[in-house]
Amino acid sequence: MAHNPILTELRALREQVTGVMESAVATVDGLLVTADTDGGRPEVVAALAAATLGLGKRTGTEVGMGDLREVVIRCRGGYIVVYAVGRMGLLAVLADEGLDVARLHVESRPTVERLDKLLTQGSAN
Amino acid sequence: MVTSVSEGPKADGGEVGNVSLLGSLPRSGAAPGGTARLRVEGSPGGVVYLRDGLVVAATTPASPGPESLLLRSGRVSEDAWNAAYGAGAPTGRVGAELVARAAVGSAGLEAVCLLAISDAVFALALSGGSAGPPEPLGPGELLPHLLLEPGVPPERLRGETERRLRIAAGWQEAGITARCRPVAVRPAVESPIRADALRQSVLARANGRRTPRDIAFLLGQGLFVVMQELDHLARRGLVEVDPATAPPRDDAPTLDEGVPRLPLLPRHGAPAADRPHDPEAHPQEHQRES
Repeated sequence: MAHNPILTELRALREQVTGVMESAVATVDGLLVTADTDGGRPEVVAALAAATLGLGKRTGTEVGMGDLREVVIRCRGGYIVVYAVGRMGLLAVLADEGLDVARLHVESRPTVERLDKLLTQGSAN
Repeated sequence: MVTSVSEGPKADGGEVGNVSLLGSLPRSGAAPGGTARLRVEGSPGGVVYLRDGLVVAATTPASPGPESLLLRSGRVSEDAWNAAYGAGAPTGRVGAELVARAAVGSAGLEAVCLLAISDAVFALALSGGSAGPPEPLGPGELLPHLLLEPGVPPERLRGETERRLRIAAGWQEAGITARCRPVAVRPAVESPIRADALRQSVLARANGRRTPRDIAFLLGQGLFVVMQELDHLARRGLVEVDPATAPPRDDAPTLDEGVPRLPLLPRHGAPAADRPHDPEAHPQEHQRES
């Protein structure tokens, strides 16, 4: 059977953090790698997340606040959180309004590190 | 005093939850004056807020708060909420503004706040949380936007939560726990019976990914009510429940099978098209939530 370690990471994050609904890993230029979705359009989310991440990085640099940690978008129905994964990828997380954002930030760090290794390994193969 | 659900009437499904949290709630007369909070450790944890010995709010990611209950269910419109929030949030009067604007009645607001508190404490007890002593809140610290006025006595909350935990113990037999991810055996149908509407709504959201908590947030309904409906659905064979704590299988069919994969990076394993996919197994998988 297929074994997708990136998908395993995304599912584990959903299990660990209450409120996480869907997530996707994409390249920084917005091309979808893998998604754990629930009916959404992950390829669209990937493209928008890449644009969001780029805008966040540029804004942070422009105002002199240093490296970007993450971009958090809060809407009525929940959150969209975008993390940079190394230099070439991103992780977009969709969560409902019950999300504990601080907990997601803590739990997502090791996930992002593992995803970075997986993407790097994958591209080196 | 730490009480135990096992001291009450025996439920047929054994025991659930950890009522040491309830033992941590101070008695009304013994609680510190002013505003205090009880931090509840757990996964997820939460906070119980007290004012003059009465519980005025309880927040946790494990159950919808009053804002979600009001907005997601459509009881209060987005415009009415925004107007009341803008006018009342800086002074802690969002509830009063909602009532003043006739977005919700004062009795209705009180009921929703009480429901949210009961649900949050039930969810925290169910997840096995334990609380430290009450910490007094300083004048500059923020409280949740919607508070129950004047508050519910901790004794009453304790009794209600013990009752709920006893009922929840019976749900285990049907596999309904806080961490289960029920899946509908057949699609929900439009029900002409109004009383059946919530059950059908719950059934329509049971897609094998969502926990009862996730469904409660989607519908703007309490966690306890949603779990109760799932218990009914499971006993009638309308939903199936995977083992609650089982980690997701790597080889399970995913919900993004129809999405074309771009060959950006070397893929591990077989392409999506080679994986088994049974649409009947996930009748709601392509449904989009508004």
